[in-house]
Amino acid sequence: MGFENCHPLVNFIYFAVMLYATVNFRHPVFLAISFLCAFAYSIKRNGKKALVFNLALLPPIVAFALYYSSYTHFGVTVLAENFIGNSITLESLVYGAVLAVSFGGVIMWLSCLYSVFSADKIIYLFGKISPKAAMLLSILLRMAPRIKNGAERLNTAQCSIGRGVNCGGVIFRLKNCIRIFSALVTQTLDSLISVSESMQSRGSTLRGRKAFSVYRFDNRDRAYVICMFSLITLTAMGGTA
Amino acid sequence: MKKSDKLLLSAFFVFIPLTLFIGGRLPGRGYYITAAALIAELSVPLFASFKKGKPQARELAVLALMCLICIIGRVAIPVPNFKAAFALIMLTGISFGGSAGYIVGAITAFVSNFFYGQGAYVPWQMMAYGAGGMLSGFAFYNGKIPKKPWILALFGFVGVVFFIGPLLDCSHMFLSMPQTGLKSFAASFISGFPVNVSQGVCTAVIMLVFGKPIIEKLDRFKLKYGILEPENGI
Repeated sequence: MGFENCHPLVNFIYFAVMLYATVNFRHPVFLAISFLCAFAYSIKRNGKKALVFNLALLPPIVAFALYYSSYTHFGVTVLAENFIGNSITLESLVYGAVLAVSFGGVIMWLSCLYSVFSADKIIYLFGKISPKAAMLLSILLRMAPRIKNGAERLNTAQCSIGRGVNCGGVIFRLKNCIRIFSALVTQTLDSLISVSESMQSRGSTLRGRKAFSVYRFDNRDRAYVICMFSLITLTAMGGTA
Repeated sequence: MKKSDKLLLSAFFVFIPLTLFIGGRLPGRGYYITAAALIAELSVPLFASFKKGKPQARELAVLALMCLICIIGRVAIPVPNFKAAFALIMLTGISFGGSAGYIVGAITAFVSNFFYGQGAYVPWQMMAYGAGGMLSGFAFYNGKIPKKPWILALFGFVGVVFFIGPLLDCSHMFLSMPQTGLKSFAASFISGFPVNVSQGVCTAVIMLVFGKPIIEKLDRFKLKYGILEPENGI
């Protein structure tokens, strides 16, 4: 019974505020909190895979800070001079690091979001707009695994006649990739149309139809919402003060 | 000329400039409102082009997939100012007609800007990208221009350099120059010219290599399912 078992609305508010704050807050303490929490939560959600992914994010963050400081030169604390005589300053280095950390934090939050938000939660939240929207959403959400599966099948079939993604030289591989991609697009469009036809003829778009859901807004969710909004208000007040 | 095309042209010449003009005065994050208003306006001619006046689910699904492919075409190429999105939007317009091309272009610009950063220029980009789809839809209206690879490539290059590019330069003039006029437009056009040429070259290359196969693919869907036909017959 973790956070993912709460009402989807609670999850949605949490992630929306978290992503907004990570993108828009530039204060280092806020960023550090957001980064560390995202690090910990993604590891708790996804285990060892997330740890490897998060650690692999660190070198690009450092590289972006160096890259940023190598082409913007504001600030007064000169650390060094590069070969055309522009000064590399501490301020631009720190600002680059801040940008990179916020971007890395967003990526990690998105991986958490992806694991917490299952397709039925998204349909529960956004399918209330109209039955047609709910149907389109469910088709599009199913599309990503469908495309992945189709690509694997196509690649296996092409591999067996010696034209897979990892057969032959570079140009041959590129050609194979393009051919598999083209077949994949055709297949996906075809299956998309047949799926939407069959769902429509089974009455998915009739007026007044609701998507099935198992969610109930209980006292724990109320407590969550009250706590979250009081904390959000506090933070927002700090922002305006 | 069909009713949906008239609606599309009136949207392009009257309503969208009006929206951009009013939307430019909104403070702060007002550009989100402008962007939403643009999409709402553009969906009127699109819906008018459908057979029953209402979109069927399969038509929306196909358009959604085309948007997705265009977004991938913009985001997946790591070279700056050398993106496949223009070519793909134009190909959508060529096969599915101007109004479909317009809405695919606008949504592509809006969604792919989540990767590049939203700003006050977003409604302008949506207008310009979509206009590319509209132009190609009208140019290949009833199949009088043959859809040969080199014609497509030439059309792509000219369209990007002399139509989409200047429209994007317009946004630069209205948003960041102190005064608007022919001179400042010339300045922003000249400063944007190398970028336009590099985009145009990319569009021409994509059209030359992938133009014919993609058009064949999309035409096959029109024939097979009878969706999104811009004309009576193909």
